[in-house]
Amino acid sequence: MKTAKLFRKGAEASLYRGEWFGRQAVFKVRHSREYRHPSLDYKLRVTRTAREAHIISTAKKAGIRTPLLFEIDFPQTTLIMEYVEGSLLRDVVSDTPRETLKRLFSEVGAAIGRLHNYGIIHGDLTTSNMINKHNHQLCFIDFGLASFSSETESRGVDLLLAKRTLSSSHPLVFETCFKALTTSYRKTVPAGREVILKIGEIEKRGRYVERAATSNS
Amino acid sequence: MLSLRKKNEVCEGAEGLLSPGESAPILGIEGTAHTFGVGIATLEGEILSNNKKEYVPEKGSGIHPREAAQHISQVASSVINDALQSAQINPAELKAITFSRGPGLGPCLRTTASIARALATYLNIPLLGVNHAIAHVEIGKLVHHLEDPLTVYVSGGNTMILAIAAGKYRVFGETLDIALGNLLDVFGREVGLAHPGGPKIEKKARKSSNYVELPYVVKGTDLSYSGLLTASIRLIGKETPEDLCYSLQETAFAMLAEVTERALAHTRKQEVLLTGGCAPNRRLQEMLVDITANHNATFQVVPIEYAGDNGAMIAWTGVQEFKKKHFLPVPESQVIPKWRVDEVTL
Repeated sequence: MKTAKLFRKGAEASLYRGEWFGRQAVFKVRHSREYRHPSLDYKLRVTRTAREAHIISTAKKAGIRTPLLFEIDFPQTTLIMEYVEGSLLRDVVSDTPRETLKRLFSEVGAAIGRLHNYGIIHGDLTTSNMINKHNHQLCFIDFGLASFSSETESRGVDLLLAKRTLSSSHPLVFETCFKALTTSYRKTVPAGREVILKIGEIEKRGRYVERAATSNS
Repeated sequence: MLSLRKKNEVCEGAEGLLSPGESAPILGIEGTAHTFGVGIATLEGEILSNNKKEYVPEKGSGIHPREAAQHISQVASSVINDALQSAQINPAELKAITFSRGPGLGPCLRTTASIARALATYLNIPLLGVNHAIAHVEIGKLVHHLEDPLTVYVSGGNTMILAIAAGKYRVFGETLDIALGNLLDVFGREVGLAHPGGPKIEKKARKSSNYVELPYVVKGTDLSYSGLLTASIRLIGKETPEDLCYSLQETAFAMLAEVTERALAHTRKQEVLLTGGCAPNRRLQEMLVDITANHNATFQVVPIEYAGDNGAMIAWTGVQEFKKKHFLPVPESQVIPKWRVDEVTL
């Protein structure tokens, strides 16, 4: 850890790059947040670290590309993982031709579908949490907010978050990307159709969405 | 009277509408919920007046939309007169009438819109309709000279984190169910505090440091307060009101701080603005100061007179619409109770 260098400061954790027994590694440290009450802070950090580790290994079983987990350091609430080369999907979307985007986002949809089939809800499906490896393979790097559930409702919320962040982060290509995502999701998940329909239902339940929901349907 | 914009920025876009040197006061009317507010702003960004009257529901009950709308029709003419008088403006000098077109409670919006239409028609000047949430952001930008903030807008009816991306205001996180102010008000009512509960809960919370575990629900960039409300209400009588107020604040604000930090890390904005009726809460401010410092962003809170709903913010947002000539013909001026910020053309 002493040689590790901070390279990304996320909302919840900081990522340091360093070496772990001679291998390139990422140290994902959930630092204490001063603004939070200490007991709430500790509870959130420990449960999230443990859950993330558990979910990464389950995602591997589901055939999802994730970083390899090297070690869990509970006292430091730190996960030590493989360093994945590539760019954040967020940073490449605007320079990617539409056809490639379609392919990329069908892969995103299929991957989300496989996670859901294994009972994993990602909980933070933003393009900052996916790495586009140099050979156009997708790698999911952050399971910090993931949880286990197979309910249509939770799956719907998961996809709705993806929809929201896509439309706010990549408004110009949103339609293309989201359509590719849902089409391949539907092919992957047996009850996929119901999940897609659920998105609209959840949206209408939210605040001030009547018009937005009808104009999208 | 405060002068907030440089003089030479003046009449850009308003050519032909004004003769040179004219100050062009624009009157803004806010009436989306319990506050009826009237403000007057000039093209230079001077706020000439900001008057309001609030409807206070009876002890033990919340805002009733019909009663809130009746309150608006009762106080409207006196508040409009107050605003004109404190600005020392003759109605004939007004260049346009702006009103809060949404989002808000239907009956309140319709009453407010009728008043605005009547004024604009009678004075024969343009009518402009603005988005209430955007107005909360714009007034903060004016007062603190902000360029492109990430805004945390928290009030009785709204909890959202918004910022401009690709030419539009977009939501980067919001409540999936009830608003922060609603959470505080309803909980306050249940422990016997009068409306609005927020400030009283803040006071009680200062007397405790005993954290009682409550549900913490963050889903990606969104949060959910309804479970927290139910759980807190169930603990009334089992824990002291002070401990509950403290724990409720700690949990609700930490959730908001977390999603704000997420949005900040994602958008990489340099400025954070806290606005809305819950903005004056010191504990909430403390938490946001901590996260913004962590991300090297600046942090500003709207001054208290512009924190809650007010007419000045509607007037100032109207000024910008006026410069863009986004006039609203009366026959097309129906209210939009569920108007999302991303549906607004800037």
